[in-house]
Amino acid sequence: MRWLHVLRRDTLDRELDKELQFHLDQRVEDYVTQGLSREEAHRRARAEFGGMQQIREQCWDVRRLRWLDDLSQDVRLAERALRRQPLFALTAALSLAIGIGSNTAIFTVANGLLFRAPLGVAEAGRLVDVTRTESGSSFANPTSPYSTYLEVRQRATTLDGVYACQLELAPMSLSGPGGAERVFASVVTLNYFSVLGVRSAAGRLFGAGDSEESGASPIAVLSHGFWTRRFSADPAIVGHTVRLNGHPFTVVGVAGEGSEGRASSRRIFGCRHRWRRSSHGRWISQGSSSAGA
Amino acid sequence: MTTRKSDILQGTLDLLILQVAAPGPVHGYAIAQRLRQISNDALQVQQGSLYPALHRLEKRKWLRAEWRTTETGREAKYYSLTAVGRKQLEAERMSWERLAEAVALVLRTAE
Repeated sequence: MRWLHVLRRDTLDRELDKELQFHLDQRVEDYVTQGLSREEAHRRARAEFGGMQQIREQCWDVRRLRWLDDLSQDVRLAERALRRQPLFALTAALSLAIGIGSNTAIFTVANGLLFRAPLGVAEAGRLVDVTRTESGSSFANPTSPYSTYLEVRQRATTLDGVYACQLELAPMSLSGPGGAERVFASVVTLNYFSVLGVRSAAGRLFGAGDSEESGASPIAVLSHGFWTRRFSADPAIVGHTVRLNGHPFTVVGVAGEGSEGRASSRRIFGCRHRWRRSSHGRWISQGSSSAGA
Repeated sequence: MTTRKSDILQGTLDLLILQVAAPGPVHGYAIAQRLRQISNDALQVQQGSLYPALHRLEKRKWLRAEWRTTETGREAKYYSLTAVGRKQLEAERMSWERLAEAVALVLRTAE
């Protein structure tokens, strides 16, 4: 119950004051009995007393330090006991280290992936996941076919914009200035960057001018990580043509830093129609909820 | 364990307080008064030392404190010895007497 004392500091202070005041008054009475006048007695007693505040603090130190004394005594006792049994101490320390270490590691990873909003995405707080629930199943399926996305986009009233991104990243070979390498293509809808609020680091991103029709010229956006690694962040790559699996694509721009997520150093973004069978498969979509929704 | 001079003085004051409180409950002022009287004014304890000591002894559970009314009708905090306090008093008395003997011996022989 000792901790209650800390909370009751006011009460204890008042008690101490009462105690000291009593002492002072008794002193005054003594002096008066010895023949001094009351004012003289008061003056002397007051002078003897010294600093009230100091006495108060010393008493408080005693109470406070007592707790510290106890604690340090316990620590010393524990230290001696552990020293007598080093194997136990070692085992305990190792168990603690493993437990704490793994917890920290897991949390750090989770923090990076899940909890912090990705940089490069404007207003991450407004983004919502569009998921599919089936009656009978308790959790939502984050992937849906492309047709579902189209319906959602048409019918959503509380969302400013809805984009879809194909779940699986398509591995393909990119050949351009500097040789060929393996990249992962992310098929996204044209409003992907605008919904997420990503800014371009060079050139431009998919936007209103582009179209998903088969006749339009094929364009691609590079991820920031890929651009930095492969092209050394050289803005001259904008406008160049690279070949993806043999097909020519014009690089129109580079996505801003921090927005990629998966495979960020090998990722490029393309729009839907350019790849055969690109409407198949599973898509994940997110929407930006309109302000005030 | 190294004992500093202040520790020794503190220990002595604790011993004196315990001794004065042994016969029965007594408040802080009475302790100071009694010490002064018994020692013929040789021991004059200041409030700055007395009250922290009293609180320390109370914390250590060697003294028990309770508020009572005096004959004049005022409220004062009375301290009395606990069982542990009594044992502590005995122990401190013995070690003090041993110390006094030892010091006396040294002073006698050193001449």
